[in-house]
Amino acid sequence: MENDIFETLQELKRIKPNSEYAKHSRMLILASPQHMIDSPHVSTFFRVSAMISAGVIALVMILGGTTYINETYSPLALEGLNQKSLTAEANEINDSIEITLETIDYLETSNQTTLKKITEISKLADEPTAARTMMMAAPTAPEATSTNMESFLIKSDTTAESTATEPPTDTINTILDKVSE
Amino acid sequence: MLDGEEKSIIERAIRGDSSAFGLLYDRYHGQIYRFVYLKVSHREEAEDITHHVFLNAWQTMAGYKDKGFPFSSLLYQIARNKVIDHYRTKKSSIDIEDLNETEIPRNEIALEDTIHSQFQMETIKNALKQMKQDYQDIIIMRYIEELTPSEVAKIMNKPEATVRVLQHRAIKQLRALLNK
Repeated sequence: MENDIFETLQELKRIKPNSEYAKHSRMLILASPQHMIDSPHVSTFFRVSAMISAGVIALVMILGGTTYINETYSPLALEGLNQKSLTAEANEINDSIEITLETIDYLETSNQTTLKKITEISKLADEPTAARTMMMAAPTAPEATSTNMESFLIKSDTTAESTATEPPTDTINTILDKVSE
Repeated sequence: MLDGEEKSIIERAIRGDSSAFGLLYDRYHGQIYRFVYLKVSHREEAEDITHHVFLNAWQTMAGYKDKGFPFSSLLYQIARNKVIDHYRTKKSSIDIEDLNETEIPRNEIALEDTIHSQFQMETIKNALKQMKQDYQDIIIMRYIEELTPSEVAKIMNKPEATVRVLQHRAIKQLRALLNK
C-alpha cells in the first residue's frame, strides 16, 4: 500500500497541459512588455538623498524640541531664577530710585527758592510803610498857592532824597522783576 | 538544462530577452501547471492561473536576484500565492468541500487512461483535495515534482526542519484518508 501511494503519486507527474493552450499562453506572455526597473544609480541617488533629508529633519526636530523643553520646563525657566528677568527687574528698580531722587532734589531746590522769595517780598513789604510814615511827618503847606506848592515840592524832594529810609527806585525795580519771575 | 546554462538564460531574461524567458517557460510550464491543477482540480482555472504565474514572472523578471535556488522556486512561490488568491476570491461562492465533486476534464481522463490504475489516481487526487494547503504543497513538490527539502523550504518560506515535519504529517494524513 505504502509503495502504491508513492507510485501513484509519481504517475500524477504525467498530467500535462493542453499543448494548444501552452503555445497560445507562451505567445501572449512573450509579447507582453517587461516592467523595467529604474536604474540602480538613480534609485541609489534617491535613497541617499531621502536618508540625508530624513536625518536633517530629525536633527532639526531634536534641537528644536530640546530648546523648547529647556525654555518651558527647565527649573532655570522659573521667574525667580531667570537671569534676564532678574536683570530687567533690577534695572526697573534702579530707574524708579533715580526718579525719586530727582524729585526730592527738585522739591528741595524749589522749596529753598520759594523761601528766599518770600523773605525778600516780606522785606519789601516793610519798606513802603516806613516811607509812608516819613511822608506823614513832613511839614504842611500854609497856603495852597502855586509858588508855595512849588517850593514845598522842591523842599519835599530834597527831603526825600536826604532821607535814608526811603527805598531807591532801582531796588524796587529789581524786586518787581524777581516777583514777576 | 545545466545550472550554468540556466544562469545565463536567466541573465538574458533579466535583460529583457523574451526568447530566453521562452526557454524557461518551456522548461517549467508543465510542472507549474501540474502543481496548480492538482490544487484547483479544474483545467480552465489551472490554465488561467498558470498563465498568470508566468506572466507575473516575466513582468517582474528585471528585479530577479539569484539567491542560489533554482528558478522554479520563484515560479512555485508565485503559483502558491495565485492559488491562495484564487480560493480567497472564490470562497464566497463555492465551498472548498464542493471541489471533491469537480468533474475531471475529458482530456485529463484520456491522459490518465494510460496510467495503470485510474481508480487509484482518482482516489489520491480526492484525498489531496481534502488536505491542508501546506500538506498538499509538500506532497506535490516532494513526491510528484521530486524537489529537495531545502527547495521546498525556500518556496514555502519555512525552515527545512519544519518542512520535514510537515512532510511526515502530510504522508500520514494522506495514508489515513486513503484507508477510509
